[in-house]
Parts: sequence; structure tokens; C-alpha cells
Amino acid sequence: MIPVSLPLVTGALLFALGAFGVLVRRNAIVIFMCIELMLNAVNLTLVGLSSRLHSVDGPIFVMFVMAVAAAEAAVGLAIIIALYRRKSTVDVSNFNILKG
Amino acid sequence: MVYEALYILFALGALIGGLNVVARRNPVNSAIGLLFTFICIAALYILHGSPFLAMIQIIVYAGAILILVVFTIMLLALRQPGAGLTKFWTVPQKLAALVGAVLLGGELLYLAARAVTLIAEPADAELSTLAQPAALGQALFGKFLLPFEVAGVLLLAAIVGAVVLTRRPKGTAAMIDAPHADEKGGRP
Repeated sequence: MIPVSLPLVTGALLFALGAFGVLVRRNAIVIFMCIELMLNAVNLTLVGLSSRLHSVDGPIFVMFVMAVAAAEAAVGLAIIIALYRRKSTVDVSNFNILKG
Repeated sequence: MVYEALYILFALGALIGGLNVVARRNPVNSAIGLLFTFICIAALYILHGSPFLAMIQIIVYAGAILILVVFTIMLLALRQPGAGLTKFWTVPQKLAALVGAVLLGGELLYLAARAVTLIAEPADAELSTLAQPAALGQALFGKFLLPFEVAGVLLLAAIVGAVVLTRRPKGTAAMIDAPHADEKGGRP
């Protein structure tokens, strides 16, 4: 039996890594991949806790997170392509028209 | 004991893949690191006794989402950033982001330590059978029927949104091929 601390620690480290990537990277595609990393960290935590608590809610939530991630991938990558059409770059430091 | 060793091995693999995603300059290298992380996390799901979720993870994440990401990288024909790592330690704002991420990780680890003390050890040490496909299907089409239908609507909206966002207005040229065509040694 796997101790419950292992998935929690792994999920925490992966989530912090993904958050760091979102903060420091400027390529929009890499930022998108870091968001996927954070979603996977949360999924791992859900599966670890629900396998310990003998509950079916965790895997169900993981499946909904995957559905949302698929929708996010389709729309997010379409947005990245639209941004590239506009300025022919995906460096997010070039997109500042909302800056006050 | 061997399960714990395997778990730590695959968890380290997932973390190394995540480091590759964050630190590599070339987005294709990041995508390969992400693929490695997805497969390691699928192995962790198997060790948790839910092989069905592991298969879903491989099919949806490694099969669909990552292919979409790689396809976008190929489609955009970005300038070659070269191999190696990003130099995020040179900019003060990025150092601040590093401090913030370390603090976030510490907070999450503290929460994990608290959660471990709050969760009682189960009486039976068997693997859970709740994550098997039959139990999952019964929960999904019973207790969680409304969220399931809403997820279907969400996917439909995502399809429509993706088509609308990438549709080219009438009369404009295909700009997606233009930008680096004049650079020497750029795209073939």
C-alpha cells in the first residue's frame, strides 16, 4: 500500500513547478504546457487521496478535469494561432494592448 | 516496499519531465518533457490501482492534447531558439517568480503534511476496486449525470470556439506562412 504522503508531495512539487513555469516563460505554447502540468499535479493528488479514502469521487473529478483540459487545449491553441496571425510571434511580452 | 520504490522512481521521472518543460528553450524539447511527465503520471495511476484512468491519461493527454501542442508548434514555424536552457536567473522579476514558486511549493507541502495527519489509515490494506470502469460508469451516469451532460455542452462550445477563432476573414491572405519566408537560414 502506497503511503498517502507520496502523491501529495509529488503533486505539490509538480504544481509549484508548473506555476513557476507560467510565471517565468514568455512563449505562449510553453505557458500552455505548464498549465497542463499543474492540471496533472491536481489530478495526481485527487487520485492519491481517493484511493486512500476508498471514494469514487476523485477519479470522476479527474475525468471532468481531463474533459475541461481537452476543451482548454482546443480553445487555447486556437487563441495562440490567432495571436500569431496578428503579430507573427507568440512571445507574450509583445501582447500588451490591455496595459493601462 | 517494491511499490513504494517504483512510485518514487516514476514520481522522480514526472518531476524531471516537468523540469524539462520549464527550463528548455526549444518548445519541442518542452513538449517531449511533457510527454515523459504524462507517461510517468499514468504509471503512478496504475500504482494507485486505477489502470482505467491511466489509459484515459495516455489517450487524452499524450494522445490528443500533446499532439495538438506539437501540431501548433510545427504550424507556427517559430524562429529556432536553439538548444539549451532558458536563463531565467538573470532577470530580477524572474528571480522574484522563483521565490514565489518556492513559497507556493512550501505551502502546498505544509498542507500535504497536515492532510497526512488528518487522514486515518484504512482498516483494510487492499487496493481499492472503486476506480474500476464499472464503478466509475455507475457513478458517472448516476450521481454525476448532470455534470456529465454539462461537460458535453462544454466540449461542443470548445469545438465551435476553436473553429471561430482560427477562421480567416474573407479576402485576407494566408498570413501564417508569410513571416519568416524572407529570412536566410530560417524555415526551409
